[in-house]
Amino acid sequence: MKIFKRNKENKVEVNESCKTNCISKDLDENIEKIKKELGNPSDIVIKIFEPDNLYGLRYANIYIETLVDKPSINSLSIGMTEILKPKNTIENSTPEEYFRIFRNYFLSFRKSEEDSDFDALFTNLLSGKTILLIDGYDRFISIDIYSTESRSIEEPSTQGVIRGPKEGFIEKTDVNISLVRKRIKNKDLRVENLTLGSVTNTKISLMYIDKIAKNEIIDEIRRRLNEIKIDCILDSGYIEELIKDDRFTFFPELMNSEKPDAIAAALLEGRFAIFVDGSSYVLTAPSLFVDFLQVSEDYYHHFIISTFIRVLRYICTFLALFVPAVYIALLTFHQEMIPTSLLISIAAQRQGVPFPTFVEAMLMEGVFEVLREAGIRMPRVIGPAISIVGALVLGQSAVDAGIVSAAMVIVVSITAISSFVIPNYSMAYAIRLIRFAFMVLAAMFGLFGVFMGIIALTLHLCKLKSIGVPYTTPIAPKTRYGTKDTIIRYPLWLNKTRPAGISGSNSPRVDQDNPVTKKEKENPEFR
Amino acid sequence: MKKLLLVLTILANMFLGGCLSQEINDIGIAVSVGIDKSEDGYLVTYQVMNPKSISGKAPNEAPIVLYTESGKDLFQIIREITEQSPRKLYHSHMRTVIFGEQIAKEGIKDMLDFFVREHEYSTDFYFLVAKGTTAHNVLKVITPLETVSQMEVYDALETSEKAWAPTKTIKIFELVNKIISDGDNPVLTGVEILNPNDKSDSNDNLCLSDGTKLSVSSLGVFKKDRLVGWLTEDESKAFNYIIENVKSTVSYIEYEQNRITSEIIKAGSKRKVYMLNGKLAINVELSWTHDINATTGDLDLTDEDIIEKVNDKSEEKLTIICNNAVKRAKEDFGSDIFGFGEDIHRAYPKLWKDIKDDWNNEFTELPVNINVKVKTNNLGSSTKSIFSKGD
Repeated sequence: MKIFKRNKENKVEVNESCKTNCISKDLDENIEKIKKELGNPSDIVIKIFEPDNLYGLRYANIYIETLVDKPSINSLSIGMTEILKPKNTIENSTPEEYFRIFRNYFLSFRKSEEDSDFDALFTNLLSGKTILLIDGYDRFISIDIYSTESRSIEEPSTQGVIRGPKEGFIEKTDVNISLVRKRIKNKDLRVENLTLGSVTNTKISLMYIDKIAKNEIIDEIRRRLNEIKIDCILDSGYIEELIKDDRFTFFPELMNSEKPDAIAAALLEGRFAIFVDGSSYVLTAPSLFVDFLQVSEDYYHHFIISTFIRVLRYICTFLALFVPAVYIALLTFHQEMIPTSLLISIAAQRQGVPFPTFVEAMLMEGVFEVLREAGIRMPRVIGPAISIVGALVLGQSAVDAGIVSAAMVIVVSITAISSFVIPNYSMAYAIRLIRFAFMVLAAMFGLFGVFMGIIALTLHLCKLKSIGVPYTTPIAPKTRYGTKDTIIRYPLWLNKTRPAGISGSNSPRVDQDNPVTKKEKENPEFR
Repeated sequence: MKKLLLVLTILANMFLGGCLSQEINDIGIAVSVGIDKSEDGYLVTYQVMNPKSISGKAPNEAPIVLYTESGKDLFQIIREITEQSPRKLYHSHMRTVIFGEQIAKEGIKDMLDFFVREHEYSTDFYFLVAKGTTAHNVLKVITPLETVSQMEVYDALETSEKAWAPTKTIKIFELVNKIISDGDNPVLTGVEILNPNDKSDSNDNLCLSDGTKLSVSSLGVFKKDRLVGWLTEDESKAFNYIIENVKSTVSYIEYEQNRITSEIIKAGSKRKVYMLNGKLAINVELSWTHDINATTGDLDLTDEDIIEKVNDKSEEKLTIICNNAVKRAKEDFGSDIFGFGEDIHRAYPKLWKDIKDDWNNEFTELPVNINVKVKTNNLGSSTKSIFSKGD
């Protein structure tokens, strides 16, 4: 069986006849088997119809109540009785002929399939489809009337914007795909589905734009997805962990986003997107280090402002990574590098602090991590309590009590705030984690250790790959036009190329001259 | 095996850094070291900061602590001080090294190698001589405003060198180079105690509006490594003019009952060695640009003739003070602090070989010809004097 099927609306899939676990011709036997296999759950509905006017026709409609759309079920039932009225049918038809009548009718209804084995039947049934079985015929029709409760489209909770669309993905793939599709109305947009998770049978959708995405990358991701053998996929995080190039690195190699416009932009740059049913985070890849420091909003503001903000983000990443380490190194190894007046001030603050700088830093950074985690997990109602404990007890009081120095509280605050500037939370986690390694290096070897760490980190980043594309791509290996959209956000009218190495297309993105001509600028009457 | 080796290497590294680290509250930040003469050799005084007091956490404590120890060997004395100090003295933030006048007169050569060689010292501190007193006395003064006296001296020295000419900063390498050079001699700025009183070494001095202060003023002339005397303020200025070490200064001239004050904004000096009747001579061309800052009386400065006369008068005055300075260096000290010897070395290297061994004596015979050219650049914000009787 093909795992990937194109999304084809209103078309019956005809699969080859079954080999094992076939549906029998006896309806009652089939129903018994379904009940037995499913353990006769309370929410299964099995309706057996025996129309009066058509003697000998018995058919059953089976669905799981909790997965289907109730109004659809009603209209479906009405429709079925309608087509069995004498004017529509020939009397004494064989079950096979009835099957064909039903099938033709369902063509006009919703997405439907037919199949002949129990495995497919159960999969369809549990995916919220209603199953139509006819006594005396060994095939079934499944009609998609899937509907579950889900939240409405809201602003993303983790990736806020000032300017730009505020729609966010929800936990329903169909809705998510529609959010992207409505942004890219192009015949080359491809969506491929597959089911993963041997127990959960979760629907995964792979989306890309043909001719813009690189074929090798799409083939590779298809291969990797097909190799996933796991019992469940509960969130896109599962996919990320299972297919990423370097399993042990904690740097994210697939970008996750809650924002449809970000995904659309990624698709247009030649990346692919992976939608996981039940997850509001959509993955895109190949994602490079620099991508994690960019936001979709960068492209909605003036390019100089965006460039400034990007520079700010790089600085903050740098600060989040190095401030505590450099502070430790300076205070324990390189006092001569601190300006004298600052040294006096720090020395005075540290007077009476019982711990060495390193222990003090570890303590405060640790407390900050605890606070951050507590802030996420705690019930919303006790939010104010955490901020009081965090800000007052651990900040002010710790300094007053002489357990930590005020300078250390400042260092921790700078680190914390800087780390929140990193737009992608996975990247922020990675940066925060490495910071501790740098602190240990700084405490042992001073700035020498910090620089060794920088070298090691650079080597590590250069080694990483995201779906075969080197992680540090636009910088090393340097691509010709890649740096136009890294730290600097080039104006749209100059950024003509798609990222090299990712996109398979080299058609220009923009191809226009300045519409405001010099003449218009000089002519005051024009305005 | 390879991995094990790697892990072992990393583990071994961990122990390398260990002993270098020191917590910031385990070190005493030394700001200055003073060296005096004592019976058995040196009397070393350390001025160490008390950060608690300076940052205002303990305002009643003295902002500086002195540690004094005497002995024969400089480095041994410094280590001996740990007997008194609870913290290891940290020298990288040192601001000044002060020699007592007595020891400066006997020679400072033997001490310098230590400051060059010892790795803990950075090279950005200045050398000073305690004028008319001991280094110990200078260091114990607690000065108002900037309570760590040597931080104050450091800043005062830097600003006065920039805006008021008669001081000269000198760091370790320049000092050593000047001592070992045959055709040059060092000068060290002197630090004086102004307004001395018996409270000057306590915080009480901070309560006085006119308490004891330290002042950097005139230059001490060295012959090789020995202090031989002091230049006056004018001579110190003249010295700086000749060696082209003036960024900006103020000078005044008397002109027909008027006093005209001017700020020098550009002071260049070109020195040329030439032979005159088979004898060496030096020509010093000073070119000066000044702005008029203030006048007394009712002089019409817009008149070009008057400006011309003012310029002439300035040239005259400058020539006199420069000649005086050269004359003092020649006659009173016999020390070529201007580095004319080096000029000759460059101009007549062969001839230099013959005279270099006795240069300081030759120098006393060297004719130095000083030419000054003064230019007025700007009259300031007004033109005529405010008291001038209008036409």
